Amino acid sequence: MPPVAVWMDGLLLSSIYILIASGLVLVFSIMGIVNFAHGQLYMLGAFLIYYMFARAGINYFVSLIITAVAIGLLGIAIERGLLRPLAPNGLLPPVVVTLGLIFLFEGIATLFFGPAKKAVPSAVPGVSSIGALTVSNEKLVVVAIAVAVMIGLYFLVSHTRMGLAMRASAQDPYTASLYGVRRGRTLSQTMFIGCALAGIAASLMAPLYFVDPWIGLTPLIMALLAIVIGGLGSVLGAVVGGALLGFSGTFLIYYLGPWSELTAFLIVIAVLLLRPEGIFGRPRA
Amino acid sequence: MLLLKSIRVHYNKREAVKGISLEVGEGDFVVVIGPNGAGKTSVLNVISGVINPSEGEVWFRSERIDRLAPEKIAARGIIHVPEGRRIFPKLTVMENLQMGAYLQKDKTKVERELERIFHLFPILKERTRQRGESLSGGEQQMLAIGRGLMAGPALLLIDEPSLGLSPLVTQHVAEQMTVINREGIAILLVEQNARMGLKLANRGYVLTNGDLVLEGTTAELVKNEEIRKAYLGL
Ligand SMILES: Nc1ncnc2c1ncn2[C@@H]1O[C@H](COP(=O)(O)OP(=O)(O)OP(=O)(O)O)[C@@H](O)[C@H]1O
Ligand SMILES: [Mg+2]
Repeated sequence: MPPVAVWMDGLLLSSIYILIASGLVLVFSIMGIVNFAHGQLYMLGAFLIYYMFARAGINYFVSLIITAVAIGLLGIAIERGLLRPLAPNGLLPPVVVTLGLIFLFEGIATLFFGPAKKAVPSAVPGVSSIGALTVSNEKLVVVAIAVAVMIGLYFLVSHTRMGLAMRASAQDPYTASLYGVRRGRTLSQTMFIGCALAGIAASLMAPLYFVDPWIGLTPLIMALLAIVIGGLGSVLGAVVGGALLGFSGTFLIYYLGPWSELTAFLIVIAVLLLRPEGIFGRPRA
Repeated sequence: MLLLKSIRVHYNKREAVKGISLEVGEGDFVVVIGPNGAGKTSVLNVISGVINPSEGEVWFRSERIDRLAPEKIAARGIIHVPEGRRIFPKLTVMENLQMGAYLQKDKTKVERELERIFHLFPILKERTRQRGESLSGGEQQMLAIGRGLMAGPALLLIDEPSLGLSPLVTQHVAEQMTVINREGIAILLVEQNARMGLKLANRGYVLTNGDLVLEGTTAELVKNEEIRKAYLGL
């Protein structure tokens, strides 16, 4: 058994993967689009937190909410401005556009914020002891917020009128429109929520890691892996996939050091060989 | 109540509906019969606003509605029960019904409507937590009509409810449509099953190849020689 501190780090990493992966999978499941620039939205969110919280001294939680809303709005702009006009042209345009946005956003970040690594101070300093275990408050807050956000997401999608309309419209946009669902509004809501989740993940992560224009790639890949392991298209799958990657990642670093990333990849391949449809996916008929 | 004036529909360059005019009175039960590809579904899609006619006008209760968005038309009380039922497969029966009431803000009305639907189709009450896709064809058709009723419609557009159903289940659905109509909801029914359609409705139209070739009371239509030969196999 790895020490408790390693479990805590696993929980932390899992929280972040889950937040990013569930935003990505939400957009995919409702809109049928993989937003490859999701990681760069995360990166822009991290810069927003840096400038608001670390530089301007705005309260951390206020900065977090502003970041989530701002990244959510940017998501709406991408959906309305680029994805929707291209929607009639098939599957490839959204892929090309969101891949292109990676370079655009990384370029903008380098140009305006500079390539240097930036540090965000701890938002909630100090440590707490739980029994014999001492954990930084920062990590506890990250996990608590991530859990709360995921519960909120679950409630939103499965128990509200808006969530019902989102799911109905994803399954059959024609019929949903017959009962008054406006597809456009549903797409905007979905994109807002999905991207806001990236903003929240960035806000939580920034004080624990550094911020630079290239931090978006790893989270995107990890989120995609989590989604594929979990079974494409299900938020629950993203949660389980994210946790699997988060924990195995930290354990592997603990035991194997530099070989951990390669081994994580082998785990993914192993899962896919055993269950090509993912843990929660259904076999294709 | 509903009036279509010289409606034309084009898909790309091809004309699918060729200038038809049609009327449904308050509380009326009207049927449109016609073979595959006649343009029946296209007409309903024009009324519910999912497609725009290339020409013509649609009037509902002295208001022109043919350029309104589908949600605006649904809000005015025209509810379209689509061909092939189109139950949301991954939503539960209850959620499917809730989707019908998507525009209905009045909670007590929704409750009352729900009770009426369970009274009409008791089988749905036993299935509320099941996924839509797990229902049989007949149950799905009942759910589709129930979902339409949840919106509190003044006019129901029902597209081929008998499609793929056994005669017995068709009979049951037919009876329930009569009940719904007696309660004051006007129905515009589209059917290939002419026998059933002409039995249920007061007035009927025959649509072939995008043209209305015959219209009249159903009592007249069932006596018509052409209809007897072509649609009733007599
Ligand atoms: N979205 C579409 N794009 C192109 N052509 C279409 C479209 N929808 C319908 N059509 C064509 O328009 C004509 C009328 O179709 P419609 O679905 O209205 O007929 P229908 O009377 O409902 O037939 P059925 O009884 O088979 O349901 C058909 O020739 C059909 O191929
Ligand atoms: Mg049809």
